[in-house]
Formats: sequence, structure tokens, C-alpha cells
Amino acid sequence: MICNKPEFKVFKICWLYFSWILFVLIFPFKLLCQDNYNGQNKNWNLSTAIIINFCSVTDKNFSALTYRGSSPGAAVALRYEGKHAEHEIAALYIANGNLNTNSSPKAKLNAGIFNIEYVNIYSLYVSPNNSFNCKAGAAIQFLNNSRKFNQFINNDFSFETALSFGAVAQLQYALGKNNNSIILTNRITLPVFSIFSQPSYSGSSAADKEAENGTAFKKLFTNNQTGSFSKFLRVKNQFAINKNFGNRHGISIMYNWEFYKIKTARSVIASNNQAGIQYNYKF
Amino acid sequence: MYLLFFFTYRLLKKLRFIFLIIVIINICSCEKVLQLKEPAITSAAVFEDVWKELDKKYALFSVKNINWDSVYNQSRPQFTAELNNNDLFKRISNMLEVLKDGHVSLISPEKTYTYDNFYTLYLRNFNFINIEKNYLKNQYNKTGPVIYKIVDSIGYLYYSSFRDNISEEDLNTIFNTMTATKGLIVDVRNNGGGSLSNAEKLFSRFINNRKLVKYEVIKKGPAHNDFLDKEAFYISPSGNYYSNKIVLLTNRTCFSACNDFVMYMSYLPNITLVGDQTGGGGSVPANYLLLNGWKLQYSSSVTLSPDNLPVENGIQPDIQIIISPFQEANGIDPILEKAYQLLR
Repeated sequence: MICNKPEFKVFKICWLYFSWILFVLIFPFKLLCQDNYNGQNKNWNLSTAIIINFCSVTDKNFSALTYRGSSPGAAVALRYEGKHAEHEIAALYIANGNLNTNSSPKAKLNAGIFNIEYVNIYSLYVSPNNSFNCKAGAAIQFLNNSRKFNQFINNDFSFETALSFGAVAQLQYALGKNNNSIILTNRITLPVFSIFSQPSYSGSSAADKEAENGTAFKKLFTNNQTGSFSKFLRVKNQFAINKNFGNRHGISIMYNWEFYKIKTARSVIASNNQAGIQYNYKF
Repeated sequence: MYLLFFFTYRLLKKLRFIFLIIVIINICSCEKVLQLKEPAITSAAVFEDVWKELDKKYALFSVKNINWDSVYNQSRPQFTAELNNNDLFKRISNMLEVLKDGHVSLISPEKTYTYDNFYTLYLRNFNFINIEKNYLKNQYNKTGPVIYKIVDSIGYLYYSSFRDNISEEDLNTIFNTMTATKGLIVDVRNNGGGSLSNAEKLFSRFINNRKLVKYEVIKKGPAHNDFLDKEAFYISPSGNYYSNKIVLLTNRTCFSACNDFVMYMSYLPNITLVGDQTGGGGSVPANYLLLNGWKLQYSSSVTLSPDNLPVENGIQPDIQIIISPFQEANGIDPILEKAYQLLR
């Protein structure tokens, strides 16, 4: 069968990359230009948020136990809303914090999170009175989570770095009809295909030691592999209640929930619950 | 096609209700939907945790020729009933005894098990009080963790543990003193290992060019023979180079980083190893936290000499000498005396 030939597999991978580039980069860019050309309603929105993150992680490399704890963080996002499409680039940083496990009070897992994502969504449905809308599209997500175990030697460091391409769905509901009404937004992101890296199985090779001190980008190219839901499952749900004050300013209360599961020889299951307050500025 | 659009439109209209459901799920915390479950902590679960972790990560089953599955079959029936912490610790320790590995430890808040038969079953072949009193005459220098003295143009250097860090400045001071000697005795008996970087710093004074010192083979998967290609390790010279004759004194307590140091040194052309075989332990120890909070330590790699030989079971000396209990009781150290004789 031609499908099993290595050349065809290369073709399939190339096609996958090409289609994602087309879908996520070129097509939205075309729509962005189209919006600007037509002079349609458009606005830019800059958001900053302070966040508290509640993390639970089971890293089978360290233990079958789940470590839990909280640490502060911050997020920043730049969003463009046009008639056809909405684009958003967002970054999230959660400072390193100590996670604990009930079975061993002295055992601490120092964990930190860094995420960047680009989302572009298109309007699928707007209710006749504009109070409800539904959007869907695609996202590119970059994730870099690192952990260090305080009581171990040699295999004390672990990380996941992943570049994911996924689908996004967003529902928005306005409680009221004027500009200053309260808006509820819920967005779900589900990566479909991911390139991700972890330390080697033993975590003590020369490449692992280099990766430990290297940048997130460098980690992505260390010991990487590709996978979909069966290998790398990630779900992210973002919920926000927004209240605008005038035409430019807004405050949101946000609650994000993220779950991911890596099913490799170095199995990791983690969930993050993030609560925060966000300030939005339209320009 | 029209029907498809019609139903999609109807569905989207209904989405505002789905939206409300999602909000409710959010408020109830989604983590509860996909909750991370803590496994039950029973004696059997702790045993399984130990056995499985070693089954996946322990690197020396092949080197030590151990059938780990049969260990499971023999041990499992002992963990059917719920055990108190003492009995559980004892039974798991008994199972670990099979591995005969000084890098395998079980650590609970109250107790620590480490395999120690690699030196307790043999003569000590070292008594520092005798050396201090009868050979160093209670007069010696100490820089950092190293004790040293020059007697009749022969240097004596004792490094008791590679856990104690040594700096390049310390080594400069020591080797500036040793430059005038015609030979050097390096005593690493009873050095149970520690940080490999200390061993490497000391070794770097005995070479004048970059040397291949070992290969490390680490696991790449859970199967017992799932290893990555061997990785070569080199050490470069540093500071004052000591080029005269060296006698290295070893015994069974010389373990782990010390075993590696002896292996590195054994490939030098100007060296003689005197004493007893080293204790071995040429692997990188790694750790795991068990379900009940106890810590498990195990060997995660295989170390090979530059000749591709495993050094897990220790390194034989060139001249084997034993200190009998009678000699020790009389303050005599024939190993040290042999070293003086070789360098005189």
C-alpha cells in the first residue's frame, strides 16, 4: 500500500504542516486585511491579569503521588476583533511555587508554568439581538512546564515543552443590551496535534542536563516527539465575566481550568485551576 | 444540504442553554470532572510501587543477572495482609537485598535500609587512628577535606569522602606542596563516594591531556535491556600536573564516586593500586517517592570502563594486601607500608 511507504508518511506530515500554516496564519491574515480594507467595525483590546494558580500534578517519574499547591502569576493578551475574525495572542506566566503531597510533608515539588498561545476564531452565529454569539477556530499553543524535586539527586528535574495545534470554540452571552452590560465568555481549546518534548527516560543524559539550563525553545528540540490525543491530551477552558466601564475600560473576573495528560514512558497528569482579575483596555 | 444548515442553525440557537451548563460546570470546578485520583495506600500497593518502579528504571538486572519477575512471585504473597510500618519496611528491605547494590536504599522517616554487605562481610583494611598515631605521628596538614604530609620525600594524601567539597584553590595548595616529592600515596580507603565532581577535580591533577575516563549507559525505556547508546566522558587537566609515581590505596568501602575515581586512576601509566578490591557501585543513583512517602533510591545507569567493562562489582588492586585483625590491633598498616616500599 502506498499509504505505508515512508515517502508518503513524509508527504502526510508536510501536508499537515502546510494545511495548518494555511489555516492558522494565511487565512486569518487575509481576513484581517479584508476587515481593514472594508473599514468594518474593529477594535484592539489589551488585557493584563493577575492570577492565582492552583496546580495538581502527578509526575510518574518522581512518584505516583499527586502534588498540590498554589502560586501567583500574571497574564497579558492582545486581541483584535474584526467583523469576520478575532485574533488573540496571549502569554501566561505562573511563578515557581512549591507543591506538596500529604504522604511526605518534607517532599516538595517546585513547579513553574509558561504558556503562549495564538487564537483565531470566526463568527459562526450571532443572535438577532446581538446578545449571544458563537465563534470557532484554531489555536497554536506553546507550553513550557518545569518541575524540580527538592529531595532527589540526579533525576530531580522534569519538564514538558509542547507546541500544539488545536481547535477552539467560544460562546459569549451579554446580560443586557447596552455597551456596559455584563458579558460572559467561555472558550474551550483542544489541541489536536502536538510536538512535545520531555527529558529522556532516565532524565540523566547529557542532553537532559543541557536542557535543564536551556531555554524553553531549546527544550522543544530536545528529545521531542509528536502525538495526538492518545499521547498528549490537553483541554483548556477559559471563563470570564466582563464588565465594561465606558468605551475603553473593562474589568473581568476570570477562571481558567486546564487539564493535560502525557501518556509516554514518563507519564504526567496535571491540572491547573486559575482564578484572576483582568483589566481590559480598548484602543 | 438545506436540512444540514437548518439543523445547525437550530443547534446554535440552543447553544445558549449549553453555555449555561458550561458555566455551572465551571463554578463546580472542572477538576472534579477529571479528578486526579490518589491511589489507595495499602501494603500491597506500596510493594507494587517499589517493584514496578525498579522493574521500569533499575539498570543493573542484566549486569547482576537477576530475575526480577521471580522476585515478584516470591515476595508478593508476603504483602497480602495489611502490615504495620515496621514489618512493611522489613519485608521490602528483604526483597531489595536480592539486588546486592549499595546504591539501593529505602528511606522512611524513622529508618534507612542500604545494602552494605559489599564491605561488612570483609576485613576493614583501614584504621585511620593507627595511621594518624603511628605513621603521621599526629602531625599533618589539612586543606579543605584533604589530609596530607610529606615523609622522606614521599607524599601522603588522604581524602576521606567525596561528599566533602574540594576547591581548585585547595588543590593548588596541596599540589604546590607535593611538587617536591618523588612519589605520592593517594589514600581513598573508606571513601564511600559522594560528588563525582570532587573526584574529577582531584583526578584532573594527575593528567596532562584530555582523557576518556568512562562510558555511561542510561535507560531509554522500561524494558530491562532498553538502553541508549553509551555516552563517553572525558576529563581535562587542571592546575599543577603531578607526573611522578603514584600508589593508590583502596579497600572494600571505596564505593560509588570513589570507585569511579579508582577506575580513572587505574588507567594512568605511573600508578599502582594497593590494598583490597573496591566496593563497586559504578552507577548513577536516582530516586523515587513511594505512595506512603518513603524514598526509594536505585541505580539508574551502567558505568563502563574505557575498555567497555562494567565496574559495578569493584576494581581489583594490582597488589592485594589484607590487614589482619592482629596487625590492626598492633597499629600496623601493611598496605601503607607496601606503598612506601614501592615509592622509596
